[in-house]
Amino acid sequence: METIAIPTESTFTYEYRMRRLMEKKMAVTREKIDREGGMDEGDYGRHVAPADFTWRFIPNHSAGSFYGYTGWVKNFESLLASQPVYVNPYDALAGQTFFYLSKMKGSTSANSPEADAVAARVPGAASCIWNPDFNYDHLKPFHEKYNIVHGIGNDAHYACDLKMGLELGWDGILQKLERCRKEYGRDRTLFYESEIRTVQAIQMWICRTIAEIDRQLAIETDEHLIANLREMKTVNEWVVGGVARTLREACQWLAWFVLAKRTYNRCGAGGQLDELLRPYYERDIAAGRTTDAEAVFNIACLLLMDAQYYQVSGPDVDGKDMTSKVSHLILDAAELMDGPCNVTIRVHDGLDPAIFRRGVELLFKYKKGWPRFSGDKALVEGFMRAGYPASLARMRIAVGCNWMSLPGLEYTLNDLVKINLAKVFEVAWNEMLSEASNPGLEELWARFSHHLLIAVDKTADGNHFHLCHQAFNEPELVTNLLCHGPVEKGLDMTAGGAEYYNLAIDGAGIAVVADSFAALQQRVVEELKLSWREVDEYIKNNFSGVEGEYVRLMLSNSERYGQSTGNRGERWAVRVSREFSQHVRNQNKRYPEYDFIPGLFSWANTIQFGQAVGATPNGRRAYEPINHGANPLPGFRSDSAVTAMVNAIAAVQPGYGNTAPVQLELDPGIADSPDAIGKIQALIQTIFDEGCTLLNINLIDEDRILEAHEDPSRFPDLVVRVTGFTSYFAMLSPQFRQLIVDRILSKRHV
Amino acid sequence: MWCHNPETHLGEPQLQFTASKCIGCGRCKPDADTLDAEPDELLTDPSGQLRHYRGTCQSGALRKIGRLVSPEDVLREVIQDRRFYENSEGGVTLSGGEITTQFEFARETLALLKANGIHTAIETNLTARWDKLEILLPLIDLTIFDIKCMDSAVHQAWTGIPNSTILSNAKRMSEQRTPIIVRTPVIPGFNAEQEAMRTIAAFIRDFKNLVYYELLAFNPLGADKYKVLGIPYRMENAPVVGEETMRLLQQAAAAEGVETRIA
Repeated sequence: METIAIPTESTFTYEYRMRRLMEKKMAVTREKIDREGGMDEGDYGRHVAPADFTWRFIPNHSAGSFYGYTGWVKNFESLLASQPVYVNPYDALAGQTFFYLSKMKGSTSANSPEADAVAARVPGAASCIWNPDFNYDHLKPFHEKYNIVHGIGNDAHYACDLKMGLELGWDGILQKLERCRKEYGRDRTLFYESEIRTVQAIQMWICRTIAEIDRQLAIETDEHLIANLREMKTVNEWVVGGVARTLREACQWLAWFVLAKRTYNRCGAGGQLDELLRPYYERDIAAGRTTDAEAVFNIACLLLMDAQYYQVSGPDVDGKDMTSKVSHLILDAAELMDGPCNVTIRVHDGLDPAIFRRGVELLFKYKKGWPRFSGDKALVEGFMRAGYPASLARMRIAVGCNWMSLPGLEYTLNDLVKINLAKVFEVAWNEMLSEASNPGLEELWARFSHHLLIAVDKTADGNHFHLCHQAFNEPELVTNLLCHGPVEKGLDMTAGGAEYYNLAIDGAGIAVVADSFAALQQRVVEELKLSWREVDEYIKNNFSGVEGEYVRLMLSNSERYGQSTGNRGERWAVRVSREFSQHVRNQNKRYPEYDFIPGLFSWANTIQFGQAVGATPNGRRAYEPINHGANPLPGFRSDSAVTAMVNAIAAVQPGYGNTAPVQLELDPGIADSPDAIGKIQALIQTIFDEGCTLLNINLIDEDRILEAHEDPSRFPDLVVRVTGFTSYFAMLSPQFRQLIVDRILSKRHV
Repeated sequence: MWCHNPETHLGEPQLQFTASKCIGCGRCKPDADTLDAEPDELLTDPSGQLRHYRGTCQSGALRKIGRLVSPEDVLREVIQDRRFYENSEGGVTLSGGEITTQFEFARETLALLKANGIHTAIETNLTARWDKLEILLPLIDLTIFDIKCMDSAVHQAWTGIPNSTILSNAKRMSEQRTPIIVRTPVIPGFNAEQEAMRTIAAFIRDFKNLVYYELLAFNPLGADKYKVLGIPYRMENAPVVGEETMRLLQQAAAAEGVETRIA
């Protein structure tokens, strides 16, 4: 029989409580793997509903799903009223998500085996069950042809102004809605009614959770837990309507908003967390209401509940560093929590050296891929180049996988729209070999550029189509509430409510394209080792046979992107990046109401994009993954030199304020010497001095990752930064785990 | 015999064959042209197969280790990382092998790096004549050298040479302005003893320009290189030096008042 130790005053510490919470977290993770088969997405903290729980969505369309304001608000109300509620007596905060409504449109009921069949393994899938009343068949051939992740029907991926929510409270938001509704009379009735019902549904959810606290209070016998539950109840009874007054109330209020938008449509964008919480912390400390230890615990509970993307430090609108005591407390909280965490430190010239150093120390101490680091200089310069002032550029903070956002101001489709550059290359290649009597390098380039333009044009057309109709598909009922514009105008963020429409279009697979051009230039044009037709034959046969393998190796051994500054591979990569960026920026002429911003990122689509493309002239076999983000392909240099890779990624930055992140896999052993942390700080600083925008670092030694890949269950707490998101390694599919293993082992390639 | 870079011993490019990489394309099979091949283009692999290096192997199974480069080639490559050196107070280290066996190259390369404002360091075994080392000194910002053992007879038994020149050069190095780092590779059976470390530490204790003393534990990582180069590896059965042993050796050295690190 299990013996449960009753905590005493000396053992009921914040550390003890966090250990109990993490035990629960690990159990939930295990449950997700066992019952759902894991997920190739970030670890969002979501719990698994009991096996006997069922919920049926309410369709409002003959096609069988739900759409628009009516469909979404009705189902959101129903889900929040029905789904389990969660209270853990060790926690500072109440509440948790169990479902993402956006992933439930294709099933008749939650928790059914069919429910997540589409969603379960395909990153980002199933939120694109589009309203069939709006047809984009005219675009589909291009999506197919160029393997475009078009983003139509996708959601969230921009930041709210969380400060607004803290200052209004839920009742304040309701009052604002009522006030604005009166101004617009009948015109925007559906919008306002839906928004009011959304807020009320959230408040009811909080009330249901308070009832659960009561239920637990009725049966709890431990005095510490009783005391905590009473405090939790008091906090929640206040924040269900009132404005947060204390740090704990602020954390709880943020938690509810985070959980609401996560439940609605998986939204993971946080905010500048240190500045959000600082006023509450300072007031609490001045009034003697809290201690640093308690503050750290409250924040840790917020981080544990949901791995939202938060930024700390960085410049304010005037360029002054925002690092405060709370910035350090947030790192303390992440340390106390010691789980998946998406905190980013914004590195700029005035950054507090202590927090920079502490961030690097924690990265090496815990080896869980946090914190990340963003490069202020290139981000600000880039956004200014897109036509915005420095003050606005500084406000654009790291709140996503690879992206920045202006809190509450900007609608972006960040990380949702991608063009598979390798596929575009393949289209151009096949066309040239079938049509041109004299294939050539510039001939190929011209066709590539031509098809790339078409792909970008059609992608922009898709963005416009999305914005024209998305409100009738999936309005942003939750995030509308904390943006500047939707409530005031009565318009959804997608339908004119936003201040800025800075639409992100990312290119993926740049290394495949650049290396292919470089290999053709070197082996076909300059060295005359192969003819164009010979290359085509070998790639059509997927380099089969001994001779095929020989040719594949020859092509693969050509100069590559990342190998050396200014070599053929890099020159082609820069050319591709500039061409792509120009095509994207030129969409502003076609759609002056939007601002299109290019980036280079693949998110978790590296495998899927590769599966759409046959063998390529860089020696890549058919259907193998493309390169990750803007990173060179594994094996780009025999020593996989970090500085060479960074120089390459710096060279291809699109330069308009969106990112082309650097993904680094480092051996933890490099931090063993006494001055190592300082050297790594210098490395990070140089990465940003060189012009890079975002840096993700994994620290795992090769032996450990290989053991974990063989049997992930032996390493349940191994956390990796996959692309921009973190996940428990054990939760990932074998394919995805292989991707990470390949990245970490790439320095073995010779 | 414990060196991790046996490919540098000859001081010129040499062939290496790795069977596991061979795809069997046949392009290194002896043919009519093999009769006219230079000796350094021929290799008999461990299985006894003669292979003719024609520069056509794409798998990397048969390759030449080492290439001829000019000081300008080196500069062109290293200057790509200039900003990393500047931010980290790092730079370029010439190592080996033994750099003084390519003295003119080392001198020209160091001069070129200095002229371009790049911090320079050398790793040397201090077996060269002092008058040669002295020429390099103005071009060096940091010198890293080995002292393996204070007992000359033992030193000779394990390395083939006595240590008198090394110790004499070390003393002279300590009288220069250039900072120095002293290293000892800890080799089981040779010098992995506390007394050996203590005597080295005592020798360097009063070196005013010493940045720190560093102990490097032996490990057999170089074994594969010997195999593919067809060179016998005499440390095959040598035990790995454990963490506890290294700690004791560090303590013994540090007891002499020398800052001692374990690499």
